[in-house]
Amino acid sequence: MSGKWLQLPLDPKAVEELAVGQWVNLSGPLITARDAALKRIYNLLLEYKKPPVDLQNQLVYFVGPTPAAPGEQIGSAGPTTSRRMEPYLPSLLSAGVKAVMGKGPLSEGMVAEFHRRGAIYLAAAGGAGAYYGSKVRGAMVMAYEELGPEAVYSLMVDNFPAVVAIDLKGGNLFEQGPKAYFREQA
Amino acid sequence: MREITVESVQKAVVTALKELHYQLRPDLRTRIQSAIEQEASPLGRQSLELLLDNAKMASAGVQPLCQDTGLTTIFVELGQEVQITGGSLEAALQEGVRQGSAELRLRHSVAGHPLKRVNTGDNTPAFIHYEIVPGKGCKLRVLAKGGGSENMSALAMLLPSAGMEGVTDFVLNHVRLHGAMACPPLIVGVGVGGSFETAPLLAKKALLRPVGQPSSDPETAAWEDKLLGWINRLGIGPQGWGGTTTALAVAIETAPCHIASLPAAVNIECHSHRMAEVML
Repeated sequence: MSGKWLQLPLDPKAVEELAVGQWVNLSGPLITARDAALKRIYNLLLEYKKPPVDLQNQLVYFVGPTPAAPGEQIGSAGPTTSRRMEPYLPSLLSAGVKAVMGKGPLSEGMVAEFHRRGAIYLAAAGGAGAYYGSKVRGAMVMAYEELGPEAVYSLMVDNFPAVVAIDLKGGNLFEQGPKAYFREQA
Repeated sequence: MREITVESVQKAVVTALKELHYQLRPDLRTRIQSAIEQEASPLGRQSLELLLDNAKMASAGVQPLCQDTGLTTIFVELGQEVQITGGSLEAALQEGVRQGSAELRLRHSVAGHPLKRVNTGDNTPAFIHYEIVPGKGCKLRVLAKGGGSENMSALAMLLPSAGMEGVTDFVLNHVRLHGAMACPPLIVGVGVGGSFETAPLLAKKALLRPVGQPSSDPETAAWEDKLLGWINRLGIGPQGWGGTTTALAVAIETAPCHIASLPAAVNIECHSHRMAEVML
């Protein structure tokens, strides 16, 4: 997918220029976390304790990969449903997270929260796990190894495509996209 | 009596899992290809093309189609003239799932208790539905369904007065509110009739039909066609990014029900629809 090349960790200037509906190709390190790990991180943040990974300006990807085949870095590694992570997102954003990546819409209130805090949401294509796994050049467990697929990883990605779903200009792809193609029932 | 060994049952489960996790179903590929031709949104078309690239990569057998290798559900149609030998049928099916999960490097996606949430570590238990049928065959239909799409499924105990319109409204409204989170373009399984526990099972069974095969009842087939058209006017589109392909197929199954009831269930399936059939 040809899109705007975006280096990780994110440069705040580059983030400002992004617009809803635009493809980006991510290259560099990102952090993974989903339900179980996010719950733990959330509980630490509630008690003003240090999370196990530095969250400042990070991109957090909601994924639980399959085991890697021998000689591979990772297995299938597509996005999971972002909506489920909402209870943990405000404190994650407070802790400095600049962008999250997952699949599907976020609630209206959460979109407003992203706009207020100046964070972006990238939508990866759900169900493209094999494709996305092939874009991962390195994978290292950073925390909670006992959670298996839900452990926190640092992934080194290369040319990893996603679409800007919430930008800094007040846009929301999951509202604008369907509105543009809605047709009255015949 | 025809004898079928538990070993062959176990092997059949592994074979089915290998096929469904690494090969996009041909009927589904055809549907996605024609959706690419018809989809009005460029972003939608690009995301569908990405799914075909994904399928090509998965077919090499290294990385499964989707990382959510799902909860395994097996529909067994066991001929009444078959005797299973060498052990327990249930244990053989579960062992097949366990073995397949390890050999095929499937993700462990089963929590042993709904509240304690400790991973069982081998994708068991699979959920198994048995049906005793005439004959000497044994058919296994194995469905691996992701949590994302299963979460977006629902049951409504409607009143008989709601009729076809009420069921249509229930399904449409449900897809409108939740479809974008279930990896569209969707396959929508609908169960109408039966009882509190059978309507959802009917909806899931509707998903077992070859993708796009209409109901054998002409009236139901016409309803499926209309419902598909209505769903595709919602605008949700591939991935929920907006577009004219929100669903690839609608399959409706009906059953008799109580004179006071009209149960309706919708089981949402994602575009990967990992299902394989093995005949023993």
